[in-house]
Amino acid sequence: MLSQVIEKTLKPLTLSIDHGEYTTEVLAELGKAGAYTEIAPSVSGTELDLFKTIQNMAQVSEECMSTGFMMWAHVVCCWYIENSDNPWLKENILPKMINGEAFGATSLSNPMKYFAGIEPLKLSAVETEDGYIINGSLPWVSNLAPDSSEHFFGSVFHVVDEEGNTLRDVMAIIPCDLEGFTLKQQVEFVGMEGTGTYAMFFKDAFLPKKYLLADPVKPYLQKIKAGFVLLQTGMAAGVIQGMINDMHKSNLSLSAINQYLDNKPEELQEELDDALELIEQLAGQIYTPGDDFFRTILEARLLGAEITKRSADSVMQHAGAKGYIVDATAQRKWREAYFVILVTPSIKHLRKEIQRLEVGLEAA
Amino acid sequence: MSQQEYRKYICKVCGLIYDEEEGDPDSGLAPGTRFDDIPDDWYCPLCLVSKADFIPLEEMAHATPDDGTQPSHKVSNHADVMIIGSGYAGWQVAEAVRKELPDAEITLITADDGIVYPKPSLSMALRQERSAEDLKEYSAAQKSTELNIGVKTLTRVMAVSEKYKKVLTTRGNFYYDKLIIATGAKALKPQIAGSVAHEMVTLNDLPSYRKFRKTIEEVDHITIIGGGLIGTEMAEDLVAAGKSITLMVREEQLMPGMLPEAIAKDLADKLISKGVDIRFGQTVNEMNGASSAYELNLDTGEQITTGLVLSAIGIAPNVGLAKKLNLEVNRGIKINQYCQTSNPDVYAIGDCAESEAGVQAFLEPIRRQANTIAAHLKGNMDVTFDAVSPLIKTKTSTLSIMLSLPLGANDQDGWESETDIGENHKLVYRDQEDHLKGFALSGELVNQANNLYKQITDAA
Repeated sequence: MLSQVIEKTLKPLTLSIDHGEYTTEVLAELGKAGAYTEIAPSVSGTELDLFKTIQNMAQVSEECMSTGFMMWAHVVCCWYIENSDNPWLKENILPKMINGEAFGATSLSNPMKYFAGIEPLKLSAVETEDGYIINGSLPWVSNLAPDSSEHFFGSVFHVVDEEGNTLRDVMAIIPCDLEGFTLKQQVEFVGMEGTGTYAMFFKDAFLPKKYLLADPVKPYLQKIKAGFVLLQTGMAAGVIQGMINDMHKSNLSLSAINQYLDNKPEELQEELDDALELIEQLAGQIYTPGDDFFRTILEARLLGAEITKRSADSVMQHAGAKGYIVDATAQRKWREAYFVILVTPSIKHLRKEIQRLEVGLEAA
Repeated sequence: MSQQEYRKYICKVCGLIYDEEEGDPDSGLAPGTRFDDIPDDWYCPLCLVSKADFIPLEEMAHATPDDGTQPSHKVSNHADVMIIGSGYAGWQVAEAVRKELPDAEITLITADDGIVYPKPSLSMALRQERSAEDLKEYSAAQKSTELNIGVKTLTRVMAVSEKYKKVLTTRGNFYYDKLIIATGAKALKPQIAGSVAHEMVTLNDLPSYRKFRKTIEEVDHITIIGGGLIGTEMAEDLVAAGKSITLMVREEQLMPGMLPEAIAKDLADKLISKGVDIRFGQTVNEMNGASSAYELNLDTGEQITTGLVLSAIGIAPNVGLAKKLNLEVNRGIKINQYCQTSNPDVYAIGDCAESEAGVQAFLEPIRRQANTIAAHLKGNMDVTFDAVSPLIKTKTSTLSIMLSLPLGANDQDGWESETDIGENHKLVYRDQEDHLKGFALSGELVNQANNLYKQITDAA
């Protein structure tokens, strides 16, 4: 089923998505094919199977990582609702997302940096009896569409008093058709362009309380953070596999000369399989509390980024000049790969955080 | 004649401090005995190295995290000898191999920061009021420069490929010709229920010691789970530091399987008189509440409130990488007399290794294992590793105890009491031909330990 969606719906669109076309068609078809079922036991009645979700995401990313990334944003948003205590979201929004009738996104890059002490939180709200009046702006949130009643994203904001003093932080789902909420496309990226990526602006936007995910937010974040990070490995695993496939293709004609290269596809495949074995094991115990487990999650994510980095170099070298042609698979995958390396948490952030958890001290 | 000030000397191997003012009455050195006056055949009461391994305390090197030292030796993609792990075993074998093979490309990979420190001092540092920073001897960069080897810190080995002789890490791939696994052991925690059971702490490395020191400043009551060597020593040290202590001992005596009942009983009485609340035969079922005010539910139905829970129930060798390499693994990684694993290109050393005598989580075997590996790498088959039973001195100040267990012995029945005067016990363990195989001494009788131990080792 999933492979048919990839073959029939995604593959013909891969290049136009890379050129900047945003479509929900593939995400909708994936929902119909049941690609999101295993992340939401409350909707599907099945057991949670995070690894299956990661594998599905990898299979999609193998063809097109832009779509794999939107799928990540989507399933992470499902993960937020699934782990909340909000029955309204679970009954009214989550089933639509699982079936591919509504689309999810996440704006947790800034909150993650805020909780790590890297940046201030950019959204704040005044609480009213039945909702929150939100102000602020966020750069670069993906899988969104302006004024859409089908697009939702998870976000964290300060609750402030009238003088602007922070009282606490809460997390909520926000629909894109909120009054006072606007999206603006500000920059153009070299890859991942067709992912509906915008800067967002809140001007006295009123969010009803029925959208609340967590208040207080800290224990909830502890619960979801390992899943949030581990799900990203689906993109890495997929793009690596896609690059390995392309290396094999190049070797059909270039194997005699490619034998002089490092990071051969057979070796990278063995590394990827080892990494997937670890990811499967971690996915099976995703609610394990404590720093030791989270450090291992970060290490799995870092390992994904490291193998991606070497594969990105190798796929270009295996392809040679042919890979340098516009729309060549090698250079598209290479651009996609750098997203895994640079996006939050990037290799440098992961190293910093692992050091903190490993030795209990900040970097010297 | 003016009285010269008393000086302190530290054992470079294990961190034991010899204080001239206090002497070492257990080995017959009266308080006030000058270090220079100690006989040359005296050895460190803790790790048995010779007097020559002691240096004045103030000469001990201290690494500063930002001393700016950069490793002078770049890490090569391919190592003749690769070492995984930077505990005592990892650094010791690095030193031994460098000595035997001056030109070999050696790489050491470690998941932590690679700081060189004496591990046994973790359980003494509290009493000596030494901070985690005081224990540091060298940074990884300093030590790697000294040994002229490549070192990768904060780099976890995620997988090993037997076929490609390659380790896959969070910082890239590295190839090896010979591999030495020195990954040590992890401290275990009991499986108990409750919402915060994962907040139980262990004390097995420098970062955990640093955190522990910080936490104990903020709490009054500490619960220790496990009545073995470490649990008992920690109970004594923490009560001396003014904390209230509950010591949970699942068995009916302290240090079961190691200490004869008579000595264990006297030691328990000493601890109880110091105020330690020992719960023999009891376990913790559940841990709830929050930091500084945990609620523990005991199997007796009782509930106690405590500020910190320290697990000291034992260790488990880290054998994950060995399994990836399909090495033969029992409790630890099986090694032969050359410290080779079931794959002749792979060696194991220290707490992760298991010789014929089992896993020996002591310092004593490590130096000899390191020399064996270094010699074997050079092609010398004459330096074999043969396990001996170590001489153990407990760091319990209320009652001096020294013992040596026969290899593999783990029962109470074989002990034969020779002397039993108050807290002064002497028990021996003899084989069928009446050869001395082990002994346990307490109180003033510990001064016989060195002679008895010599009898055992000379006979062997």
